[in-house]
Amino acid sequence: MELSNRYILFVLASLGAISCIYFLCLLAALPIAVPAVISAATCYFLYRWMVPDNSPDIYVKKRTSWLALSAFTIGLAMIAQNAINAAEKHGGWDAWAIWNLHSHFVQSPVHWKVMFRNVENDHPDYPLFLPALNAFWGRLTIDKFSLMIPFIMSIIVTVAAPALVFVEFMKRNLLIASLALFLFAYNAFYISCGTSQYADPWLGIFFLAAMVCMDHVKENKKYIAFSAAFLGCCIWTKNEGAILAAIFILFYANRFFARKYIKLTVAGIALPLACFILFKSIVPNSNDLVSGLNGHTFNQIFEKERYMIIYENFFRNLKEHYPYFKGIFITYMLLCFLRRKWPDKQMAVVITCLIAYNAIYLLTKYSVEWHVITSQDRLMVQLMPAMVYAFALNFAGDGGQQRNQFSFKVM
Amino acid sequence: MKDGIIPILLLISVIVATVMFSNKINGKTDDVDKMEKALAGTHNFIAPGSNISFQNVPNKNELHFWARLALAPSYLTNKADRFDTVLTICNTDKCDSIKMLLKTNNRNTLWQNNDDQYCYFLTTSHLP
Repeated sequence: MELSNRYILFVLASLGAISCIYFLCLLAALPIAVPAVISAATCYFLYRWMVPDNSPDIYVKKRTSWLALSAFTIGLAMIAQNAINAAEKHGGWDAWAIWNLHSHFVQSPVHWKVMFRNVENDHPDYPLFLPALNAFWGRLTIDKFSLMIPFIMSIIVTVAAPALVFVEFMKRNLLIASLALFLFAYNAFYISCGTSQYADPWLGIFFLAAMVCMDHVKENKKYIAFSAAFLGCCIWTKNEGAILAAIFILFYANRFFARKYIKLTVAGIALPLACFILFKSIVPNSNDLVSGLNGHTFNQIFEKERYMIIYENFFRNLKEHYPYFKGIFITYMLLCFLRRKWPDKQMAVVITCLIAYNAIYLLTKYSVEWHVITSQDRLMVQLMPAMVYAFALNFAGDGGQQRNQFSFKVM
Repeated sequence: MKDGIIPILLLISVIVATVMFSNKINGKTDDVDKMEKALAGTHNFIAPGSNISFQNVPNKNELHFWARLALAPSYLTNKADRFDTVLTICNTDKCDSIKMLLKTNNRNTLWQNNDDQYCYFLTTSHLP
């Protein structure tokens, strides 16, 4: 794996670890100095484990070209500039109604559980990755930068996802890497969601990071632990992260649960999963969608109109927010057909996640129109980075053949 | 050229974006700021972790969200009669009639404030 991507993944893993450590220390009512010291030690350990690498990958040995750096700088400048234009002072609706509100509560070591009383117009059962992360930095800086911290976290995630994809392909196929980068840079919806201070972009980048790490497991088995850790972070970020993680683990079960990897898998996922389980055990209210499941909601599966609403809104969102994706997907499928190959495993994972997400709308206790309109576009943002990665993996050509061990050959 | 230049570029972009965002929001006031400013005086009367009821302006649900954010880590329910301490927000043209109503209902006003759009009352049935 490229050194740059090891740095990016190290930062992501560190932020995930900091959030978990802060939450566990909050549960134990420990002063802020304790999570600060433990986090510093953990980051140092992660740095020593993640960054050094003697990769056998032939591309890693090649030098980064000036052309690649120029393309990256232009793309990055565009993303940063668009992000500043899109960013609002207190973030989007869900930021001040949910994520930053939870962060305010979690920042209080004594009264944070008051948050659970907020059942009207709020979701106190939402996992605490982002609130705990913001609260940690907030308490560490004595709340002096309460507006800047959520923005800094959001700009990190907005620039890191395109960078991760670009670096992954820049030495194998600069054209594809640049196109992937500019797919992010020109996507106003991705950038506005990125800087909205929501948790959705975090879920997206953790899912992408898990995928990237999995594709490097053959180089070094430490990446299986990081892949599992990032899936754990998906679960610790949002409830639907559990669906993404479950699907990913199912697709790669032979690796995660292989005898030589199982210990690393457990080591990677343990901390965020433990946080999630502990959090769910103390939240008095269950998830609104899960608690709403009954015989009637299961009968909704047979309502044809629901499928139509989901389908129509999906294509409306695709047209409105991801105008190039339909064409790219058709090209992707055409390429698979010409190469006489099934779509890559990475693409199969993303498509399965997309189907699973949309299946939730069949079972929702709310009005399906309202539910689809208010959330489907954000669910698509969560899968966008992994989707772009899967596209690039296939289009990059030799990279696809080299890395994609799991594609099913057409007879 | 060193491969580590990309993380440096990322770091620079985060720093530059943060400075530019800081300049962008500096001196700008939005609805959340207005609510925080309006309710700043309640902190002398509301201990963190308190339970407060909220009486809202009709069809202005977002006021509940902003007030909730301003008063966190206290709990602000939109069920108006659930707790003894009540935060009432009304339009400035209804200010006097709400004052009268609170008096009629034997509510003691702990704190009040108003801005160009709304009047804010923190009341209780107990004696102050």
